[in-house]
Amino acid sequence: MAEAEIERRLQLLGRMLGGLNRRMGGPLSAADLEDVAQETATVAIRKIRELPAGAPLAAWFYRICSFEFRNAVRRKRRTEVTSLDNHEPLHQDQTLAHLEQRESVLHALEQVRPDDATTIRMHHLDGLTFVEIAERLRTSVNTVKGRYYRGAEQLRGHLRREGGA
Amino acid sequence: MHHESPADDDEFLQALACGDLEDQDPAVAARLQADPALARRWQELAATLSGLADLDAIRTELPEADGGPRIDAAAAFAAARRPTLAVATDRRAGPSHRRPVLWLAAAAALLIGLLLWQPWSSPSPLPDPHLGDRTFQLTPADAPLPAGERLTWVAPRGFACYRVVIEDPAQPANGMRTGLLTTPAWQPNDAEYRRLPPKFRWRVIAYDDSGQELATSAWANASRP
Repeated sequence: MAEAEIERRLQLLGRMLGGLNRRMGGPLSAADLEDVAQETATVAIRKIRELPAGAPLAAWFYRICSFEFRNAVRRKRRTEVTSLDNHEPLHQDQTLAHLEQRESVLHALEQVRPDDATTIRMHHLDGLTFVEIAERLRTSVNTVKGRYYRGAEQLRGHLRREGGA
Repeated sequence: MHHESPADDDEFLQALACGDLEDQDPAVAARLQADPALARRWQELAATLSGLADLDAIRTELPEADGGPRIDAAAAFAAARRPTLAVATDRRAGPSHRRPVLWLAAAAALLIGLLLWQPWSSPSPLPDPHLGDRTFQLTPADAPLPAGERLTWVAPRGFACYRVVIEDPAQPANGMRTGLLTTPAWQPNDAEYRRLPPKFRWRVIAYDDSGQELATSAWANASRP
């Protein structure tokens, strides 16, 4: 992939991290977030060349972002002073666990048969209906539904083996 | 829209997964009730679908994330080009590359010796069986915490740090937590003490050096007199 293309996609990382930080109630400062964004970009650049052609980049980027963000929040917590004055609502823990679970689903999805995984991604990540997916892939709605179901069943097996949902 | 329930189990589950059938539909519910194995498959599949439905949120989270941190792409490219392993060792250069193996063997022997010696040399701490996973001993438990007193605990082994979590059992969502503690005790200051619910439960989470969560005690009940 050309550097210009990677650079264009890197800006998405910043938006993803900003979104995650807002969702968590802003545990990271702007400076922290800049650092994490830069680290995440470096990791992404290092790994992106290992990706097979046609790999689903948006989901892959999101998984890296979420992982680096969780680590940064955990690192920051370790340096906090011992006080309840700045008590964090427990929902931060729940959100971190939720992000981890989401990463597991995305990771498991990478192991699902490509056609089936693509259908799932188009439905959930791109927000397309089964009819719209069928139109884009020039196939029947029944085929799309069949792929979706098969993909979900494979995912269930992967997650069960990994101790997930 | 009404859909006929397919006779084939996979087609039936596919129709449920794709929203062509609803499990609230009386005919569907009756079929699931009559076939526990099928119901179990649907239950597991529904949990997976719920995880997938959660991915929808990624799309909705992004638009509101404008203004996130800028990335200096040039710096990131430069950093990515730097080698990640700065220290390379040449095992052949040393006079005895077998030495680490000898050290490991000595350490293993020492460890085995310690393990054999430990059970007879000192009584192991007996955790209170009423307190959770039997490996932490929390104080106070089922007792008040007077002002100026500390929450203390005995952990099964030395962890790098701990965190205390406090909950009002009537309102678990309003929980509080300390920062990381390097000693097995926490003393609330006056303001913190006043914020404790009149009746609360508390527990301890233990971490390793890297901040990885290692163990969690069970809840102990306490109160603020």
